[in-house]
Amino acid sequence: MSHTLPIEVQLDQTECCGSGLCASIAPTAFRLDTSGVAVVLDTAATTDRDVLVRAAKNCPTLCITLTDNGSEIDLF
Amino acid sequence: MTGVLTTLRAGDPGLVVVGGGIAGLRTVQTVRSAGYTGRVTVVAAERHLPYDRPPLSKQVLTGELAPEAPVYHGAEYFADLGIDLMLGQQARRLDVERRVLHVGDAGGGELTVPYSAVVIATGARPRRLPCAEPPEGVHVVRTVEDAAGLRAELLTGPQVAVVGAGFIGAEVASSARALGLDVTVIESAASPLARAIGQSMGDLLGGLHARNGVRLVCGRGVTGLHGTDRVEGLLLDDGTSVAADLVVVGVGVVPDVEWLADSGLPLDDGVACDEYLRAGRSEVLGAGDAVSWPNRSPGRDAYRTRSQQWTTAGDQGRHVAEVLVYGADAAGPFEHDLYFWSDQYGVKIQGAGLLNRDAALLELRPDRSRLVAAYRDADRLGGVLTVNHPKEFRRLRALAAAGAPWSQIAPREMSLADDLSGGDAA
Repeated sequence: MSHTLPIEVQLDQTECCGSGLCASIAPTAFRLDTSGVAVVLDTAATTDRDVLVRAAKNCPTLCITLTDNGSEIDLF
Repeated sequence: MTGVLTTLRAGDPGLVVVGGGIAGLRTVQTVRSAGYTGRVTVVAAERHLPYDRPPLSKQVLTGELAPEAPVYHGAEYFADLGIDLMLGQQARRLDVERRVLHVGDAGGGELTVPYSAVVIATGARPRRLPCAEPPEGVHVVRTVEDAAGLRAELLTGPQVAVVGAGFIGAEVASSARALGLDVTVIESAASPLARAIGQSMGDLLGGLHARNGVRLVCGRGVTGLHGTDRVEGLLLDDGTSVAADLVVVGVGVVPDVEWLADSGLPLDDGVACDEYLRAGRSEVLGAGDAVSWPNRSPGRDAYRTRSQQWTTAGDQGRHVAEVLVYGADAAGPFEHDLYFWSDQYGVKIQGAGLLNRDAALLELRPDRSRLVAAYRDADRLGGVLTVNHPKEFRRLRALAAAGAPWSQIAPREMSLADDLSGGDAA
């Protein structure tokens, strides 16, 4: 029996520029906090993989890292 | 030392920020996080809450984001921070002696807004083709209305011509191509992006157009438009024409500072600020695309520049807030590496530092799906440009910021000709 582990979502807040694009593309995974920096939401784990990848690829500073089953997802 | 805002008394008019873009937003967020509790007013010409402009030439055109303003925060966010928003109000005049801003709305209403300190962050507007009454179908991309109108027309399947092969032009061309449209890009310079990233990298990244089925015509200026009611094409300075039902003009921006003409503030390529972003007076500061300032990079003399980068604008907004709250000495001079990014043809371009020169390639995949280039500034690493390589970008950007010697990266330099042989054959 197989099961799928959730994708691990990491966001480097020191690199985040606060564009909010991740939150626009994947509102169940990210939002801008009150200081204007993006944070990862608990519901990121249940967000569709393709949506997470689009959010990560569109990040202006590429500060989002996605890990699937222990290995980093190659965005490009 | 303390800043202008910390010397205010109850009842003083407080901080007025003119402009609702990223520079204005970061200014008001930062004065609050720095502990200023007095009045804050943002006066913005657009009717929208502050929104993210960069996606307008990318994700909004391709349909990845809806063609409505991608706002950073809702109205309650500003209410919670105690920030008054005056939206849809155009700045008309600044009286620096009386410390009053004059504004007007589209309906002819006029208001005066007193201030204790003012931040000029009115940004810039796109340069247009010099014709009195352009026919229908000629677009620029600056506001969400621009992008929504352009997106709607792109969906009708037009033949597209883009004037200007800078980053905005390239992103619009890429977005139109992603929608399956026939696209031609016309650039007046001999190489695309030469002023931004130097000729060698400009030629290399300009190759993305052809690789993705977009025609790029360089070294040709646009001298006229065909069509009376609706645009039918462009006339070029060699007498040839390019057929197009839709024209997008991406030939740079003009700082929105005409309203300051009689203010007495120094104007030179926008509001001419000092290294602390002050505009000739301690209570008048500037941030964003509307200002020039003497920028500095490691080991270099300062040079007056006007950034048109989103990141610089936001960082300037933070900086003016710190000058206003902590004082100029504590905040220090504003220095920036002018970081930018561009999404086009499925790749992510990142750049920072002094890039207006030829570069050394450190890594290149022939199809441009990965590129690392380093820019030399005398005996130092002056700047970096990458495609799809954020880790290497971060490493080299930090080295450049630290003034790392060129010898630290030069041994890995490779020859442009070697790596491209065969790669461009198709």
